[in-house]
Amino acid sequence: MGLLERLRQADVPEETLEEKTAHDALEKIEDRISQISPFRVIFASITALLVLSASVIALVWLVPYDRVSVDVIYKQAGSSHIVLSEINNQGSRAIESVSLDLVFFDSEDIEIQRIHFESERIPAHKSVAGDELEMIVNGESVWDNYTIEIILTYDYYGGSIYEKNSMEVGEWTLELFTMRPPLQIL
Amino acid sequence: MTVPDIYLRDDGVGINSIMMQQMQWHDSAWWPATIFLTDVPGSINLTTEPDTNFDITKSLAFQGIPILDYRSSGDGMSLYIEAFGRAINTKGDIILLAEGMTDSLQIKPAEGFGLNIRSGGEGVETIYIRSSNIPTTPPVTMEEMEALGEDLKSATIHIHEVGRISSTLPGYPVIELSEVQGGRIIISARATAEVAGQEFDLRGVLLDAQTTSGIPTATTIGINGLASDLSILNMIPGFEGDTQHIMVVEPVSSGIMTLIATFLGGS
Repeated sequence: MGLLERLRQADVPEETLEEKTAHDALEKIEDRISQISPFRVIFASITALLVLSASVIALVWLVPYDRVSVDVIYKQAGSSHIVLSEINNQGSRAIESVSLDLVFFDSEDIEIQRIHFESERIPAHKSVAGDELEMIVNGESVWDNYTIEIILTYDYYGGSIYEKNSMEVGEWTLELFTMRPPLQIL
Repeated sequence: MTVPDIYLRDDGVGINSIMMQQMQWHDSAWWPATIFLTDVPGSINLTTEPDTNFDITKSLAFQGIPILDYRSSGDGMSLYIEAFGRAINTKGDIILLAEGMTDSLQIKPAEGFGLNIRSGGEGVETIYIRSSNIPTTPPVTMEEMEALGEDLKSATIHIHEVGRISSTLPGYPVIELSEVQGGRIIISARATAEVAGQEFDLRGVLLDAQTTSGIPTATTIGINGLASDLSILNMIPGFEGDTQHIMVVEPVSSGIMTLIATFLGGS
């Protein structure tokens, strides 16, 4: 009798409980895998994408929240001081009665120049920039330090916002600053 | 400035040399700005004014630069300008040397907030610019920047911001040089940044890809600068075509080189 025949005739020990459980689990997994097809994978991916997109749309457009920021850039160009600003309404609702003041002070808190911008309405997810939000200060030394005061007011669906902040400038030729009032939800 | 024709030399030169100096009192000292001109043609017209067209949503690199327009009745003038920043109310000190100028040179903003450089004739023979001690933007200080150019005729420079998020998060800069008509240039820069009390010796690995009339012609790699023939194909007699350069600072190797230079030292 050959070795293979001996092995075949040898008594196979009975399966233990753990082995049986493992075999059952393996059979279940094999059964599930056999049900996965490329079509089902694509369908599940598209469904997940749709659910994700719907969630993003709901978060960005449907859930009412207020998120406004003002970007301010200070730049020394030649012997002038340039202050550029942009109002970003990143919230899901329009804001109204928007007012922005940029005031340029010297190191002794003497006002040198200011600009005032008003807009009746800024729609959701829109930004406003342009000549009315730019300030060019001529005739002041670039070797001194200055303060730019930023005052933003607007009405949103839940009330009014008044935000005031300041940035120290003059040491560097280019400085970036973002003023962001607190996020308001509902 | 015009010199009457009867006083001109035979070669059209009106004045052999001029020196002008302006002194500014600042921080308890006098700070000079000096200009030397040699072989001045019979008539020169130099106008300069600041560019006042700004847009916060576009690249700020060239916004607000001085518009320069130089025209003269002849070629060959040379100039040397040395100015301390305190003398001209600007941050940083500058030296500008130009030899063999042609009868016209314009440096002005290009469409799309780029920079347009145009020179008449065969271009400026030699030009050297050095800027130093410029506190650029927190925390970066440009310690020194030098550029040497030969036979520069024309170029248009745009800086594109890839992945721009907002005005204060402008994205990754890609420099595009277009309409380059020839010449060669060597650029070198040294900058530092101070972060949390540690001064970093910044190293930028610059990649430059060159194409002429759509044909790829050269790629240059440099650390804190580069040396490049601006239009290799235009050196071939009879070949006329606009050359374009795309330049980017490679961030990973720049970061590694910066760390090596900062902590191990380097020239």
